[in-house]
Amino acid sequence: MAVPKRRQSKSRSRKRRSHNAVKPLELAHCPQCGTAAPTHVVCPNCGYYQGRTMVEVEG
Amino acid sequence: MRGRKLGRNATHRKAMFRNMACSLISSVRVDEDDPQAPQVPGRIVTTVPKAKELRPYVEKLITMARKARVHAERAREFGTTAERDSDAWRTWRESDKWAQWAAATAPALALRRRAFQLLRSNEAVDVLFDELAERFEDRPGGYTRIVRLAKRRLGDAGEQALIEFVGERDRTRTRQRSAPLVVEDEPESDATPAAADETETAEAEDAAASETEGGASDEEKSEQQ
Ligand SMILES: [Zn+2]
Repeated sequence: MAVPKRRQSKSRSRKRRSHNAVKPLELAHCPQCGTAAPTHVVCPNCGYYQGRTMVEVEG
Repeated sequence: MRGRKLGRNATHRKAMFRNMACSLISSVRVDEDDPQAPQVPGRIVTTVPKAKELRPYVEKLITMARKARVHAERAREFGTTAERDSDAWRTWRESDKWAQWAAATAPALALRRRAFQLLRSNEAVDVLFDELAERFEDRPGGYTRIVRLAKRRLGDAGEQALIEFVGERDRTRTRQRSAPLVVEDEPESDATPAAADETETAEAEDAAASETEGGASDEEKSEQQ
């Protein structure tokens, strides 16, 4: 069976992982209530989307 | 195959779209007393890919219903309002009128049966041919709208979306003009109350600039997505 000949150095592993960083979500603010949410979705706080209320939120 | 497989085999997919289309169409007619009645009529919530695959399925059904409506309209002049098995009904049944009526209704009936094949629910077919066909009579396609929701599904964090029939909650958009349009005498009523104050002060300085502010409000246009 194939087996590694050498232990991989920290440098080698870390270099490989240098591109693996997770970027933060790109959020936009709701024009009606200011809640941060992803773009192109109904506002999770007030139900606002593209100039009208799509989902009635109680409270 | 065409479209997404959605991790299902052919029969599973077929059954799923039938269920979803039934749910969406039946949700248009809301029974007030039913505790399980849909909160918003004419709307269901699913994942984004399922909603996108459901859209052509449902829109084709509505097109069928709209086509049937034309034939049903034409058959009406040969029809009768008399009660079945009454004397008036019997004379109508024996006359040429009946043959003409039957010939005129046949395409509508065929379309109804084709829709039933896809839905397998009398209630959904009734809603489709009676309510939705009338509602979308003059609309050349684009009967549904899909809107993404922010909340991810619990469990697999699937992207959720709602699919609903257009006509309610349509978007009103103020279209931006590329260049200011100069109009000789601008009617004051065109400006919205909020923009009216701005218009008065700006009018003396720049008539063209105030037109873009006031003019945008009358560009409000309902449109589908
Ligand atoms: Zn909001």
